[in-house]
Amino acid sequence: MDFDTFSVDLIQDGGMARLALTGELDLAAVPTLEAAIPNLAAGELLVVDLRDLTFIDSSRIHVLMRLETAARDDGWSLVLVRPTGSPTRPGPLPPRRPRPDRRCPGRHPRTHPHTFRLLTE
Amino acid sequence: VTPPKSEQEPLYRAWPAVPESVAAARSAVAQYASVCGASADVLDAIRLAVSEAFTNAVLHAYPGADQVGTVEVTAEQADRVLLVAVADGGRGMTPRIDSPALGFGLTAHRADDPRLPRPAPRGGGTPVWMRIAL
Repeated sequence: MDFDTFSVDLIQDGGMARLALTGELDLAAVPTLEAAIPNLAAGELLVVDLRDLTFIDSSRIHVLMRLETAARDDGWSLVLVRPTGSPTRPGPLPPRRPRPDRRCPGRHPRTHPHTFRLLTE
Repeated sequence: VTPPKSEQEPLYRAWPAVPESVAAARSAVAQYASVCGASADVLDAIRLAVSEAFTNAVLHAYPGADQVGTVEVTAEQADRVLLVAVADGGRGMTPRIDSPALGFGLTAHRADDPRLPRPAPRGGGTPVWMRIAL
């Protein structure tokens, strides 16, 4: 059984950057992902698109949490586009919750201390 | 008492304890489990569990070692159960305050089943056993 090689594409347009992740995100893929993360200024937006990931393990969520911390500290916004299929099952990403709070977008006060927005598609 | 028959020859593989080995290890066990009849959901769980265990071995088993260590992976089917072991020959489960990871792994692969055997591998180290219903 083969495994899907990890790759990442970065598209930057003005104050918005989009990282599209493909394949299997594990320990070996972290350096590739970290090297692709752009420097962002306050007010800019980073979208991390996880839809084409076929696998992600728990320790790799560390990278996403560091991104969230950097976004908070530096004043830019982070949006994760949730994966489908196996990466959403018992795995490490919050699969269903927290849902965005409609009354206060971007906050997830009930279930998770981290505050990145998680889009369903 | 006749031991349960294994329908597949046991899997035994060993890889260097480096990040590039993690995908190969989870893929090999998933391949074995697939031949044993594991469902898609179970295969996903196996891939995650093996990845977590192998990653822990890579990150924690051989800190500061001069040579790259080895991680052994075995899998064996007994009736409708798959027993998987991921074992390193490293320093064992001792606290590591400089851990580069979050510490989620052992929780994620649910390795605390008291029914699992816990023999020490050659040279000590840490074995992680998984008992998976097929």
